Amino acid sequence: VTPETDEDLVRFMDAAAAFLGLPIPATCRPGVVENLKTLRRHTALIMEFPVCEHTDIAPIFRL
Amino acid sequence: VSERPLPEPPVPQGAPESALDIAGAVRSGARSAVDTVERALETIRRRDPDVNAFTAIFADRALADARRIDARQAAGEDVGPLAGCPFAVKNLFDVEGEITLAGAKLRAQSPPAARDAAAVTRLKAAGAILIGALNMDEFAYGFSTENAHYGTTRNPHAPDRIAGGSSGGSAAAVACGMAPIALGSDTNGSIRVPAALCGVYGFKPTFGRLSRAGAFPFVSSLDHIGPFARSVRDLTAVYDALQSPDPDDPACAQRAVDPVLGRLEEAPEGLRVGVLGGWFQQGATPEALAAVDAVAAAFSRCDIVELPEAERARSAAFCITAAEGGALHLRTLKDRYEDYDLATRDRLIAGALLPASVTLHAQRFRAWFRAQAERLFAEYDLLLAPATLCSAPRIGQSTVRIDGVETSVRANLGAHTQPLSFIGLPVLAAPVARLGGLPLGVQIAAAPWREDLILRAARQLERQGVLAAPIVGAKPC
Repeated sequence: VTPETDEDLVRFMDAAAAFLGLPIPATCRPGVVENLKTLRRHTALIMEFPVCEHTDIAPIFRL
Repeated sequence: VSERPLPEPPVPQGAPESALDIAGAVRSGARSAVDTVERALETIRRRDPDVNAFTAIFADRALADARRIDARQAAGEDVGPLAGCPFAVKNLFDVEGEITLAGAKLRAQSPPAARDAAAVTRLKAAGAILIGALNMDEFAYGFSTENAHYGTTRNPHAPDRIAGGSSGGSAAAVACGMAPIALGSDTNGSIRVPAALCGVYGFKPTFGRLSRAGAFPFVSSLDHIGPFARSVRDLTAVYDALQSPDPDDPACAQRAVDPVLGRLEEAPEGLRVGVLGGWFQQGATPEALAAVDAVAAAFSRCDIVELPEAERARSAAFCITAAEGGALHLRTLKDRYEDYDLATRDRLIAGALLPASVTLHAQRFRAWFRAQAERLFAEYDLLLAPATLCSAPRIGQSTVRIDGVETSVRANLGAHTQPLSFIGLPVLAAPVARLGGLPLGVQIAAAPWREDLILRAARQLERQGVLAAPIVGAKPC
């Protein structure tokens, strides 16, 4: 799911932003890339964890 | 972060009072609500220029509300359990006729709110009087209340340090006596972090317990609201007043109101208490861990326990937050990106780009993680953990040295709060009584819907002197 290198990350940023029609001004690009690096670390930690197929998502979480 | 003794702060004029003391005096007629509000406004005028907690002060409407309370009291009506008690709210709560800023410049031209947020309505119904709105991180996305548009809220204990965030104005206002009670919101720790750094009580009840209707959203699947106070009794009184099912908030549970104040002095017996180990001990300063030990020592039995995969839970909360926040702001990011705080803007853009598969997996992991917590609560009634990894960092400070390692302050201030709010547990950030040094807080968590256990245990800890939230600037009695 997550790009492997910083160059991949920049390509991912541009492709995903184009998909959403979200322009990323030049002044924002370094900050967005830094934040994507942080998200990449957290994403890797989440995605490596196997969750049973029968486990429901919890977008509105009820207890 | 050094733990140097602080110089004696100036003593404020007029003795600060608890919310329930004020209400008792107003209800009996011993004191007028107008007098209470005038005192609060005077304290704000004197202290807020140094703290910058308030972004709006509603003096005229507060005095008008106070006059109505006094008239009703004189007519023999029941004026409510919080009669005449001033309160203030994080500026993401709707206040009828006022613009809801949510800490953002780009909302400064928005239409005024058509009605009060549900929480504001409920406190007013209990007789409390709204006196102002409070500073916060832009759109609640941060832990420092260093707001690019409305300034930094300074920690009343040390003006060169942050108050924490995102509800920093709420914690600071209560800490220095500008309001005895305040409201904030907590998505990943935004009540508990500033409460800990400012040395007050901050309570995040179970997800779904309190209505968020009329509170500007950030991450719908994680957003909570809750109160701040300087005593467990005040906190409990506000918590009781806030409870009620609400169809205007789809996440608000259809549960009966469960008031706690009437049984607050009943000490819970035979409590099984666990100190969370593993992730919850990592990265914390010795002082933060000592604060947990001080609370743990007050219980007759206390074990070190593990909540499995807490670090992963923190990551999952981090990604859900980024993605939901980014999606919420996507349209505005396209049209008005230049009006955002730079740091908020870049975080939101990055979050908006996160693939859905990540957040959906994180939401499924959330259900798994909740099951681990349920297993733990089968054996333990309360869980303890540091509220923050350190005491309040200096304003602008980016890292803190822990165990010889430079650690990012901003990235980690909520590291210990995020796993618990991720699964909606009720958690109190409780101020630990310390001689000298900056404030530190301990999280006291319970199983879902057991807010009563937390508050009753905290009341006993307060009576024993383990917890305390002395007003900043007041000499001890």
